[in-house]
Amino acid sequence: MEVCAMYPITPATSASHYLSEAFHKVGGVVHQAEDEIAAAAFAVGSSYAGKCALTITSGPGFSLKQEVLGLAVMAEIPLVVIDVQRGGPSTGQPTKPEQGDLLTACFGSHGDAPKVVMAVSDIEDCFYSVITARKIAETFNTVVVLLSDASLATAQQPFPRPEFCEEWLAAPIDQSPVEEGYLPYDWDPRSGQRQRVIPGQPNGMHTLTGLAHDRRSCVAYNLKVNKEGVRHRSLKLAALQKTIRTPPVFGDDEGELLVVGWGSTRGAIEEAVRHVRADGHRVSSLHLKILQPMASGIKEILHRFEKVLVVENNWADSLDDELIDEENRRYSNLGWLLRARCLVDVDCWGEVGEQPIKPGTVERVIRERLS
Amino acid sequence: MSTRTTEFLRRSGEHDHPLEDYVGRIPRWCTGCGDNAVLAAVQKVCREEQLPPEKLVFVSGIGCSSRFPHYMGSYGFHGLHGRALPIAEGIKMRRPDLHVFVNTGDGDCCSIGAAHWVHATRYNMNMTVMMHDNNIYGLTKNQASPTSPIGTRSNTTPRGSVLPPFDPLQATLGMSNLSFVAQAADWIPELLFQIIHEAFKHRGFSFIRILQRCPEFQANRWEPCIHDPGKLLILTHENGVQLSPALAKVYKNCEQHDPADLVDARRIVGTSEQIPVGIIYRNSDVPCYEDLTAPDRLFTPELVKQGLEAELDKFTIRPRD
Repeated sequence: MEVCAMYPITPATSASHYLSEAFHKVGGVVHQAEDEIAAAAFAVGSSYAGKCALTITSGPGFSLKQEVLGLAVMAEIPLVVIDVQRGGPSTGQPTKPEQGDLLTACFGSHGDAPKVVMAVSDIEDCFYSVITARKIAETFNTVVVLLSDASLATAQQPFPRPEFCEEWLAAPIDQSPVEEGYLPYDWDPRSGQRQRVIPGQPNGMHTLTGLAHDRRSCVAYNLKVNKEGVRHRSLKLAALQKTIRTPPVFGDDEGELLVVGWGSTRGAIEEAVRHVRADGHRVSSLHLKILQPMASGIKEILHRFEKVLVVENNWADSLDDELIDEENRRYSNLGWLLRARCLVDVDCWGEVGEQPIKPGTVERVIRERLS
Repeated sequence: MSTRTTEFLRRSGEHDHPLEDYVGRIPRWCTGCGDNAVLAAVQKVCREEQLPPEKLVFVSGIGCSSRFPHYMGSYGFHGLHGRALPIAEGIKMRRPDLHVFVNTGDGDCCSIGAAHWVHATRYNMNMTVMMHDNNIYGLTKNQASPTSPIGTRSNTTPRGSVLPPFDPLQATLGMSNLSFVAQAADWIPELLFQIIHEAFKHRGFSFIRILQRCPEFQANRWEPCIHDPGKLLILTHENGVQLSPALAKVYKNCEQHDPADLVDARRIVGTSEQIPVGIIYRNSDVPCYEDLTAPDRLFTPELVKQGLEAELDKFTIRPRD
């Protein structure tokens, strides 16, 4: 990364504080913008100009950036956005962890703005995931949202020292002439991919726009032309999805209960599963790293268990409440996604009153569901 | 005259880039729209400076004026309403080789993007910013803008706007780290060209407010000034713009104003009954943000590796023998 544009917000500042000094040592720069929108727009500008750029924020800032994210999706500019989630909504509980932004990350911007959404599960994962996120953003010319949360932002954890790998580094900016007849949005009919050209390249001159556009990047007034763009941008997520491995099941491949989680709750869920398995219960867990697009094979895994329970650190209505029933229950974030994606009657347990979710709590919830 | 010894040299007046190299798509602006004049002036500046089209990036927001990049034969970024400046800053930050221009309007700059404008002035990054001020929202079809004169009848102010107009020049002259402010009028192409040219040559954040005609929704706004050139105060100086003899016959209301004089600039903008046209303020000594934050050496992959290894070493605990 060369450019990190940010605006101070808790708990994302722990990362930008560290980067402000660390970036200096590798020739990068942290730009403290005048506001969250400007930070996102600055990162989009840098990335458009060929630099490896990201913006880092937390919930309220993530909401403010949504219009810019839509622009990056529409104009197909690679961008990594890190959202260090905190208690919401509104100003909420800035210092408390929550996993409440998953659906905003997936569907936040207006219109159809397909983005890649990933989540980190521990400190070591934070290190490598940023590199993966940028590579995906550059390969597919799109926005990658990387979700962390307040518990990871303030945690410490030892992990094996990373061995330097040249592939981590950003490629030099291509300034070679573009071949005649170049079309800025020459969408591949199968994968939706396009060739990105960077300012400075002779013969590649064109104007990017957040308006609907055709293959020449001309403003499209025709509805069919817009449909073509929408379809190709959506196809890119499918193309990425074909490259994602099915996540491994923790425990046996089939059984009575499957606990599904994402992000920082991984350790707590797996420890709880280990405990109940030691008592002979047929319980397994599944951890999702890439949440949009979702890997193939997940539906099949869910079907191999009698019950599926999502455990996450955000709100889910409890059926114990008098007015709540199957028809009005609001599910947890991943609960909604899995039900829609897999057509499985996924149960969920969401908690916003504990920080972070402890293995003992997950174990209690599992035992309740088993009984 | 060329000889065997000099034939490989370019002759003076020989242009590698004719005007056509800076021409993009056909403008869709209304007939008589002042944006057309700005486009022509900018294309002439590019030819004058022989700027490689691939090294030009025109960034804009949303509005009539923000269609500008599409009509240039260069790179362009037609972004979001109000956000042209932060996008332009991001482009310029680590690409000093690119010439960055911004086209924004009175709604884009003075209303939805006003916060970015204040801070863009403070950052003082090397770019040329043209604020096309037609005193009205045109693309959204006739709503009063912050710079609309009091009493402007529009679709949102059918009984006339009630607030006095916002003055972009007074605002900029109050901003910190200011380095270049000018005012131009679209109907005086010679001065428009000179002012944009001077703004381009200035190293820093060059802000030009361009008084612009909107024949559709503000048809008579500038008519008094066009018919009575004396209503304009032309600021001339050896370090500013100069009137050609032909133009001097028309614009007789001139004042010598040294662009280095901030106090006089504030007096002209704050008290003058007339509308100033020319370079109002220039300070070439204000450092640019991209220079202040530039890496102190060229970071080769080897240097990046060293930096990263040193950073990882800070946290590494190695087992004892």
